Amino acid sequence: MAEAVERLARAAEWSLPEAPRQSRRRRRGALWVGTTIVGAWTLVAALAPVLAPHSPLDLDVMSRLEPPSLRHPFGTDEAGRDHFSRVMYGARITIPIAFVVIALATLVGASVGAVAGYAGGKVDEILMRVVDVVLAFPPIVLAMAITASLGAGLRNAMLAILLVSWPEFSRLTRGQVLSVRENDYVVAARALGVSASRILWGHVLPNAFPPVVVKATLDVGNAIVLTAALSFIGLGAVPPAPEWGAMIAAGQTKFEYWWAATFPGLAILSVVLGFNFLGDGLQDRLNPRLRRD
Amino acid sequence: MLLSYLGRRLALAAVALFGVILVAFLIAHMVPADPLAMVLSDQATKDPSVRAAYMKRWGLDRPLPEQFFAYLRNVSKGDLGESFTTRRPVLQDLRYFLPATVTLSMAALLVAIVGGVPLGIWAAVRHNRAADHAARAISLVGSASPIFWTGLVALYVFYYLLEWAPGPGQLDGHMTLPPRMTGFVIIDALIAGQSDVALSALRHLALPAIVLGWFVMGLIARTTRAALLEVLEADYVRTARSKGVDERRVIGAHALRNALIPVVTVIGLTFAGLLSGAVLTETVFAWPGIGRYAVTASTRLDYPAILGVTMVTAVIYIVVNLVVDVLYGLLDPRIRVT
Repeated sequence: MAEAVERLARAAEWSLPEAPRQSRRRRRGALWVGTTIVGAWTLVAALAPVLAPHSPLDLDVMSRLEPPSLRHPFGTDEAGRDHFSRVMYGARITIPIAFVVIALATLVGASVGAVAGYAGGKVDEILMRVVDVVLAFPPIVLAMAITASLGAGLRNAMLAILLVSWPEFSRLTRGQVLSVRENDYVVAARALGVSASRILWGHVLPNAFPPVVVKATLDVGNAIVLTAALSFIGLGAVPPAPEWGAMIAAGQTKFEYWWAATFPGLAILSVVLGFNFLGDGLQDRLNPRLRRD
Repeated sequence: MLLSYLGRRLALAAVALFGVILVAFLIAHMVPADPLAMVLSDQATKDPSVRAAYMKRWGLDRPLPEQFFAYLRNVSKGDLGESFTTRRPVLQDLRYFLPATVTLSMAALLVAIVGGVPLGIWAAVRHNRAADHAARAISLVGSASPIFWTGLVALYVFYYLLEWAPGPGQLDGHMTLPPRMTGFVIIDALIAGQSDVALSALRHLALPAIVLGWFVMGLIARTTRAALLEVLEADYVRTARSKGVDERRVIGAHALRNALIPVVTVIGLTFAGLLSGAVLTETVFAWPGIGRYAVTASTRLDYPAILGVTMVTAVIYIVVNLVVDVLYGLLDPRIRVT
C-alpha cells in the first residue's frame, strides 16, 4: 500500500515536463488568483461584523424563505435569517478551524515523518506501519466514527479531522528527509561531528520542508470540506451556528428554495479553489530548482 | 524476486488489518457514554449487582489488552456485534447494504474512467492549449466542490428543474424491490424477469454515479495527462514519429499503452476517494448503501454499526490496494526488483 501511494505522489510530480516558461507563467497566475481569493475570504472573516448587513442569528419571521433580493442578496432561511450575512459569518468558523487543524496536523505529521526518515530502521518501520493503518480508513468514515464516539460538536470534529490528516504529512516528510539527508552538505555536517538533532533541525528539515508547506496549503481546503461534511451529516456545528455545511443541510430538502443550499456551497467551492490555486502557485515559489529553469 | 515482493505486500496488509481492528477497538473505548446504559433499563443500570454481572458477562471487568484479544477473536469470526438501532448483527446489516454501495461505486468508477482517460489524453495531446486548460479547470472544480453539495445541485437541476432524472432513492416510489437473490437490485430484477424494475433502478443509478464519478474524474484525468506527457518524450515515440508513423497511431499504439500503467494504480487508489464520496452521495440521494447506514448510525450513537462500517471500508481499501500492488508487480517488471 505504501508503495502505491508513493507512486501516486510521483505521478503528481509528473506535471514537471511542461514547457518551463509557460508553466511558470501559469503558476504565477495561480499564485495570484489563490492569494486574491484566500485574502478576500480572510478579510470577510475578519470584518464580518462590520461588513455583514444583518445579524447572522436574528430571526425575522415576517421574511421567511425570501428569494434573493436587494435587501437579502442571498435570500433568507426558514427562520428569516439573512443568508448573505450567515455566509459571511460562516467564514469566521470554517477558515480558522481548518487553518488550526492543518497547522497542528503538519506539526505532528512532519515531526513523526522526520524522526522516521532520519532514524530509519525499526523506528521507521513502526512509525510507517502506524501511518499505513490510519491511511487505510476513508477519511470521512474515520472522522465520523471518532466524532460520533466523542460526541457531536465542532471541537470534536476538529480533533477527528486532525487525527485523520496528520499521517500523509508523515509520509511526505519522511520521503523528503530520506532524499535530503543524502546530500553533500548533510554528509559534510555529519563528518564534522554535528549532533544528529542539529543536523535534522538545522540542515535536513529546512530543505525538506517546501513540499510540506504546499501540501499543508492544499489540505486547508480539504479540511474545510471535511468540516462542512461533518456538519452536513449533523456531527459538527450545531444548527443555529452559521456553518456552511450545516446551512447546506438545512436547505437540502427544499428545492423550491434553491438559494438556501446554493450560496454556502459556492462559498466552500471558492475558498477551496483559492487554497488549491495558492498551493499550486507556492509549489513554484518554494522550489528553487523550478524557479531557476 | 516476485515472490518476496508479494510476501512483503501480504505481510504489510496483515499488519494493517491488525492495526485497523485495534483502532476500531480504541475508538469504541473512547465513547464517554456508559455502555451498559445502551442496553439495560434505567433501573438495572443503577443496580450495582446487575452492573457487576453484566460487566463480568461481557468481560468489561478484564484488563484492556485481554478485552482487545477477545474482540479480535470475535471480529475474526465475523462477529461485529449487534446494531443498537436495527437490532440485527452488524455483519448481516452490512451484507444487506453493501451491494448498493458496490453498484454505486462501480458505476461511478466507470463514469470516471470513461470521462477521465479521454479528457487526460485530450489535454496531453493539446498540451498547453485551450483544451489543456479546459481539462485542468474541469478537474480543479471537480476536486474542489463538496460532493454533498454537488449532489444537491445535480438533483435540483436534473430532477427538480429539468425533470430528466428520477428523484432520490434506488427505485421509483410505487415499485417494490425484486425478490432478493444477489442483493444487487438490477441483477435481481433481471433474474425475476422484471425489466421495468431493472430499468427504473438503472435510471436512479445514473445521477448519483455521475456526481460521484465526477468527483474522482479529475484525478484520473490528471494522471493520464501527466503519464502520457512523460511517455511522449520517450525515445521510442520520437523514433516512431521520425519514421513517419501517423500521429494517431503514435499516441494510440505506442504512447498510451505505457502511459496507462500508472493510471491503473491511480484507479485503484481512487477507491478510497470513492468510498469516502459514496458516504455523502448516498446520504444526499437516499441511496440504501453502507454509507447511508453509517451516517444514520453515527447520528443515533449506534457504535457497533458505525465501527463495523469503519472496519469494513478499511478492509476493502487494504484488499483493493493489495490487488493493485500485485497487479502492478505483474504489469511492470521494474517494480519487483526494488
